[in-house]
Amino acid sequence: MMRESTLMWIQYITGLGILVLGALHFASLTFLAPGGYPGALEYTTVFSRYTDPLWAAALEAFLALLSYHVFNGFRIMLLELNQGSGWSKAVNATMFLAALVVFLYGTRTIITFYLGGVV
Amino acid sequence: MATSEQKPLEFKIPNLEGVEKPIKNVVFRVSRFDPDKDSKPYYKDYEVPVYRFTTVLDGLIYIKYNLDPTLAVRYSCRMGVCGSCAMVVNGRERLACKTNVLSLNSSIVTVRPLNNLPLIRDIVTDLRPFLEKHRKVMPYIIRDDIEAHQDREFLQSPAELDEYMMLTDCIKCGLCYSACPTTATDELFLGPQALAQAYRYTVDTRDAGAKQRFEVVDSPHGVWRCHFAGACSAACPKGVDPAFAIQQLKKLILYRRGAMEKRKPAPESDKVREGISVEEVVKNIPKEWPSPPAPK
Amino acid sequence: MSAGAKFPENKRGVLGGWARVSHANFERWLYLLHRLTGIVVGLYLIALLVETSNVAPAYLGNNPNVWNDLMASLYNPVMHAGLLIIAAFAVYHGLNGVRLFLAASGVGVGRPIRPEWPYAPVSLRSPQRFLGWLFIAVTLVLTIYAFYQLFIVTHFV
Repeated sequence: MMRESTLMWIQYITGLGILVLGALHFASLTFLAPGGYPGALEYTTVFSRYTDPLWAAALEAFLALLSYHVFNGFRIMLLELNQGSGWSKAVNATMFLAALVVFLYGTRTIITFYLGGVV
Repeated sequence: MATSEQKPLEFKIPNLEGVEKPIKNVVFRVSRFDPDKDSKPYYKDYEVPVYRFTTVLDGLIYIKYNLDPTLAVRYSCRMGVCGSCAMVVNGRERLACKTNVLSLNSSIVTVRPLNNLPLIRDIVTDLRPFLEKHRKVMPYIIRDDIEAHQDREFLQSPAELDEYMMLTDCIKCGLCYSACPTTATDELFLGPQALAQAYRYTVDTRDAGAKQRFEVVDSPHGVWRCHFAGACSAACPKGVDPAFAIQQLKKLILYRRGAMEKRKPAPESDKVREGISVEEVVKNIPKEWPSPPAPK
Repeated sequence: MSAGAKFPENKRGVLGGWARVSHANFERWLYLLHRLTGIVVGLYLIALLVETSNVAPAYLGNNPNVWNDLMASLYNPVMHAGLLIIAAFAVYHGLNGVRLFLAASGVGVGRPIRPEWPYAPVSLRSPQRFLGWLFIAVTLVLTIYAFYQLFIVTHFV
């Protein structure tokens, strides 16, 4: 596919992005939520997080970065276990597909919530 | 004073313990494996008398000479410069000739072959995968005009030398390769030694082969399978610090790839380098060698 | 040549590789933790996505009760302890990742030296080791804050 260094560049950059957006996620579940953590899980709070365009965009970006970072990480770990060409091809394909599936599945959820839950 | 009255020189060696007679007997638990007879390695115990300065290698030679001549062990210089006696002693990668048995503070000394390399016999491993990976990174100066002018040295400043001098101390013992967590599962991984040497030649200003070497190390089993566990540097008996070199190599690939690939190598000493005149180079040559570090 | 043909591999495997705990230097421990935390948080992400997405159909018709019921069923100390672990793992993984990114950018790994006995390698004495300890401290601090939110705020405020 791409050069390994390009894949690692994106791994590092998505990692940094996840740190920032993850901090935002952590904040939105603790001190930015009315009533702290219990209040963050209230239906109204969650609903507002998904319907506000900025929060929803942040969630979507978080999901995109995570999909790449997590499955590239799994790919690296799995590739180190076995070096046969069959295994390598299978791991690369599976992790790519899994990342895509997770991203699309999550995007569907976010869009569903964003549109008020009515599909 | 008459010369016949001179007293003989008297001096006392402070501590003769363990110098003339062995201090104790230590059990050497050595991994044995005969490829024609055994299906997998097993441990065999030998009792070895240990003096104050006995090294693990001395113990193994004692076993071979006195107890069990069938023991296969690889060694050469017995002073820590050849790298032949690399093995795993009490769980840690060490050179056997540089490991004092009493310093291990254990009555049982477990000797195992190097990890992650094919085992030939007993504690002798096949170093060919290790050396072939070294060859793959082209560990020599690559430049277009290497054949043309063979009669002059290349211009390289002491600062440029210091960039890679540390890495030239590598004795190819294989301890770093054995300690690396990635080689434990990934047999295509180039290994810390090869990658450190790739950096040593890439950053050498006399070299112009960055493009070829980057292609080799920027691969699915190249420099990016290093995760900076630092076990290689912790194991290295000469302080080469391959972990340092590999992180710097990653930096070159991420940030300086274009510049390194286009870099013109150091010219010969009678040629002018771009931007620097010969007079300026001559002016900056230090009058004296830098003084050696003060003894501690 | 049958050299080593019967026991050719001699690979230590995962337990002798990244999962090795004996004779591990500090950076090797951090690497092991980085992998473990990455696996756990990665799997948690998938589980969380599935959990949240399955409540989406409940929104058809804007039904908050399904959501609140689900939250009530997950509102127990065991789940909260699990979430605390996830928070700690995620913070550690992120911060150590920053340290690894800095190292791969040549920052904090020291400068080359002329080795002298006892040959202590420069990269293992360099600022990145201090960063490693610092990030562990920051992880602990943030975990304590998460504990406060997950256990103190939920039960006593």
